[in-house]
Amino acid sequence: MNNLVQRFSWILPCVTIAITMCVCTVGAANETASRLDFTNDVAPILTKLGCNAGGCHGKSTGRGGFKLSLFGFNAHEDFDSVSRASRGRRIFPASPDDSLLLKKATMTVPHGGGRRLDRSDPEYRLLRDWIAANMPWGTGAARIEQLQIAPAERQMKRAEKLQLTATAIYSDGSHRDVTRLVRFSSGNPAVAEVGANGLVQTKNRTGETTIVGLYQGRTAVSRVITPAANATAEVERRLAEFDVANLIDRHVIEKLKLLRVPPAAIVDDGTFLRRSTVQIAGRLPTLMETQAFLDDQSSNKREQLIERLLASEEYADQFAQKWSDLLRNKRRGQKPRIPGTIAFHRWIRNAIAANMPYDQFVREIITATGNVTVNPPAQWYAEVRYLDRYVDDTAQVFLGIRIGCARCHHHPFEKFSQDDYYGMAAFFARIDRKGGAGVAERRADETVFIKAAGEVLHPLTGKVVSPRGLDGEELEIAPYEDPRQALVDWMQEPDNPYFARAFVNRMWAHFFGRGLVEPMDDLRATNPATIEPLLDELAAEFINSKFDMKHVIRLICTSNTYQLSSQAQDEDLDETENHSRFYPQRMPAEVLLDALDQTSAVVTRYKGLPVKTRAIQLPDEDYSNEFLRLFGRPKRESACECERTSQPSLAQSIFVMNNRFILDKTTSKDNYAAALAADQRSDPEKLGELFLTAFSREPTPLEMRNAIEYLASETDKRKAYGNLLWALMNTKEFMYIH
Amino acid sequence: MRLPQNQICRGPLDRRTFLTVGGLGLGALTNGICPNLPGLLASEETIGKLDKDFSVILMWANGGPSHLDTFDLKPDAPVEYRGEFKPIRTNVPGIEISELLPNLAKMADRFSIIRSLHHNRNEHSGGTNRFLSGYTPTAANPSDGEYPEIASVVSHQLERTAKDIPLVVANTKFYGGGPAYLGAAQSPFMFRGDPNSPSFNVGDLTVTQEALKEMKTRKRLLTTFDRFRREVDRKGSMSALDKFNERAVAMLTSPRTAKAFDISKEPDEVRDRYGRTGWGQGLLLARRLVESGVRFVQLQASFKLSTEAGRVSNWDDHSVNTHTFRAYRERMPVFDVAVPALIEDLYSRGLDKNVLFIFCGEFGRTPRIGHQDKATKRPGRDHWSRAMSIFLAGGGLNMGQVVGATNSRGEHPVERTMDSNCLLATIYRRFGIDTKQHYYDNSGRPVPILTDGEPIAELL
Repeated sequence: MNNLVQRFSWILPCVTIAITMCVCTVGAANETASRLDFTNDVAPILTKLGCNAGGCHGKSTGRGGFKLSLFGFNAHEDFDSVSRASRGRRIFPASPDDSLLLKKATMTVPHGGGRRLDRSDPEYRLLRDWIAANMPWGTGAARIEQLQIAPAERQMKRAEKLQLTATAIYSDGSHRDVTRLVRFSSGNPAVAEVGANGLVQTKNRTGETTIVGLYQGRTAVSRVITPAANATAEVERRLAEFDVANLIDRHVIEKLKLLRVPPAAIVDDGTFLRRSTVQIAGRLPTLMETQAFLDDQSSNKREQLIERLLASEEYADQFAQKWSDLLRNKRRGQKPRIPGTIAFHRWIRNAIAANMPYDQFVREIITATGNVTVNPPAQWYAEVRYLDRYVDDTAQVFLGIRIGCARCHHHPFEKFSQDDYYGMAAFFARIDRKGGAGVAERRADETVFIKAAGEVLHPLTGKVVSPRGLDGEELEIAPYEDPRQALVDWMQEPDNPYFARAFVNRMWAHFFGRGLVEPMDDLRATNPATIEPLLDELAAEFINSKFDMKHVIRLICTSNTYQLSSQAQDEDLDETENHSRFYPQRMPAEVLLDALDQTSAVVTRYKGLPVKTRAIQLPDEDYSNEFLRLFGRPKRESACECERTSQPSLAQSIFVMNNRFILDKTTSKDNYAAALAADQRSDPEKLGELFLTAFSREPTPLEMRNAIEYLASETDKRKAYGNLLWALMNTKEFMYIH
Repeated sequence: MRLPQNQICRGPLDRRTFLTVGGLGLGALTNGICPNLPGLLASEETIGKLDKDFSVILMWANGGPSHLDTFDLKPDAPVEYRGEFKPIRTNVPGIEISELLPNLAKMADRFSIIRSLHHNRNEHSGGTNRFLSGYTPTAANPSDGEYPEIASVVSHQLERTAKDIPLVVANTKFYGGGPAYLGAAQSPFMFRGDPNSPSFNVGDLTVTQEALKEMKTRKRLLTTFDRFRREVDRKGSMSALDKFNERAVAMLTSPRTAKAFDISKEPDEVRDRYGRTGWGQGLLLARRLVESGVRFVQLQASFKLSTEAGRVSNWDDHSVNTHTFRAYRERMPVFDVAVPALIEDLYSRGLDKNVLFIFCGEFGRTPRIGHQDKATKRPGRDHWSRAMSIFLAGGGLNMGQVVGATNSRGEHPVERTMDSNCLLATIYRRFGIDTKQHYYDNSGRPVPILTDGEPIAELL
């Protein structure tokens, strides 16, 4: 609260001017009160003060009996709440200062939300004048059409200040400075912060951030870039010498030149082999593969490797798992659902293996009908069951947008309203099901079909909503036709701004550890890509390739950007968004467990599946395994990749240190350690192989010396090799893709 | 009757409600006004300042215990409602509980009962998620909660205070519970087995001296070979991994955790006082854990009934599952030894100021007795989220009182009607956790710890 008061007093001098400027555009100063308009003048104050925030009166049920629309998207409702509801108890035109609205806001009477306003604030005066003028609604006033923030883009030095100005443009062409009323936020406060007044201050750091302004449901963005302070000749040389292999490199190096951050070195063969094998095939390279790759002298061996991996069975396993997560292939502990989850997993895996075009892949899922045993994609509908989930999942998985907010209220940072949401929902209105067994969420073996008709009602107006893609036309669907086909048609139009971009961004995130847009499924104007033209061009390339999934992966993995080392000099480590180096990621739970199995030569068993089934091949979420649970395997409760976590935890550490499941892999009789102990070769030879197996590289002389020293200290060689194996498998070098 | 939606627990009533209930007379009205406003306001100042010592022992009657047969008896209700048990007086005038609890009846000054909580989910896992998270899940019968249970939130909030013992310990994952979008790292540390069994030990945390030596060797080797520069990971997960590894070693090598779990360290007379039962030894273990620094202990109260009494080990006393009254005749004597022993200990060891014991389940039971089981026609009660009783002891809260009341048949609250979130709000307040903080769910929506529910004024 103190902060707020301080902030107000700090900007007070310029406030008066701003407010005067405001009203001048509406009318002469002496007529101010009678010309006040609720939507344009009063509502923005309620937003600015936070009255209509989600934790306060903007909550769906209001607070303390006073309810406002969330972030003020419904001015009519708010006008009613403020001036009429509860028999008008919140306002007192005869003595405006005694209005409950003002007494609460100034904490003259107890207010759960604390003091939001001082009597000396211009906002206070405006509210009081409005009440004194008998709360005009302000009919006929122009409405806001657009918000602009200037400058739209600016290169700045470190620790520099920049005053943004926000201008609202109205339906009658008039505009006013609303800088003081806009809610500003910085996308990356580590690069630059923004004050409530629109004053940007860059930090001592190289990078870029967006500054988002929100006002009356309109948003605008300004981008601030702080290049590296002192680019040396060495930096310039490395920027100039970077080889451009394809379109990706072209855009990335352009951005790095802007930031004057040099690209890292191209990574060595062993690391590249490990990185690409783990990311494309979901497994570690074998010892033989590693030796062969290191020995290979051909100049295009990395391209050949990518082709080999893309053609491998394990590529299908790896991406079948990703899509099984996203499409929530889930058993829910119900045996009768197993045929469905296995069939769907098989179907996805076959589609990936056959490189089914992505547009067809998506169409077959969204428009699935029938029984899972006949048409496996119908399993999606076995899990994604209600109208809101059809919309939320379709949007998040295939369009890369999070539209769920708009089910109940206008999206706070996007243009999406409830109209848009229910327009999308209307595509699913004819879905019905019959047959099957089990309760509600857990039905198995049911049949999905399309009814002759079916409609969706708007929750506020109660009117029938026609099917409509976002920003698309309202559609009329003939009886018995499947509206979902029209939805997929809309999604796959070449100018659809979401469909192709969402996919390429998801793939980018898979390989680079973060999306060009991050979070990867939150595409919106106020959350732009770090390199917008790159995202655009990749998406266009994907469309031109007729939605060839492998083509996108090939482009990514054969770029020089993908071959950059994760290592960099200290001063360049802070660059974490524009791919000047490879950002390490911890292996996903299943890949890590398979890697432990492969390295230790001790397989993990999964109930009901053949021996040697790997974790990455598990069809649904239900194969209980404590390691997988602790290391972040998702339960497929959501359509978000963020449900899978790679965060370390105490429980993981305790588990790897002291649980038999892990210890058995390093101590069992017929594991890799036992084989090494029994092996007649010299210790250095065996250690060389151990390091190649675990890290795809030879040990350094120091590592070799330490290992030999340790082996000499133990009499039990099997135990000694087991302990070494345990240690290597728990290093960051092992657990991370780097 | 439809219960008022989103009823909050803080008095005084707002003006309109005041006007509507104005004719009900002073008794009904004063019950809505919080009797301890200064106390509530004072404690408000502590929001956001984490309490260093507060901890919770939650004894969870999964399935839903019957309020009418334990802490909210209705002897004057018609015979098809009141059941077999008679209320008995306690040492606090005006407080009566079931005749099956004679030991507890002697210490009513050391516990409080809330009789007026309610919520809106009538199935086990949905009700559990609703009750323990404060949010209504969208799915029916979700096996994992869609919203994080309070123990997971506490675990996350107190993370930075963690030392060499887990913050949250549980014997079982609750059906409908779990950390939801907070991630597996905020799951309780689970121990398996029956603390009453002589072979009880805690798997991952048990280390023999020999194993400890090996573990130290391996950890030393890890330090030698783990040379990857953690600075290249700017997200901080590599340094977090190092930190957790250090803490794991500290926890495994420190005697504190192992000792806390080693219930055999307790003198026989103490163990006997709790009763040599799963519940008795479980509560004794819980007491040892909170004394050693665990901040939230969840004990699912499973109980093996005789075949005559029923076929389930939970508290889901439908006619088809159990003879509800026989089931209570078997359970409650065990309860009435274990819980009084714990309360006794909390007070004699000065833990009552900081350790809150809670006994409850996801909802109450249908007041009208049913006889649906075709073969036996035995009495049973079904799910009832419109009324429930919560039993509390210690925690630095005001004891020796009953908060709220249900109607003459125990169907719904008529005094101090409160959403069950008020209990969560009370617990969060004692932990010093600001419930206005929010987490992001998997669709990116900010979800506050609680949107409604306020600390129960009578208790603070």
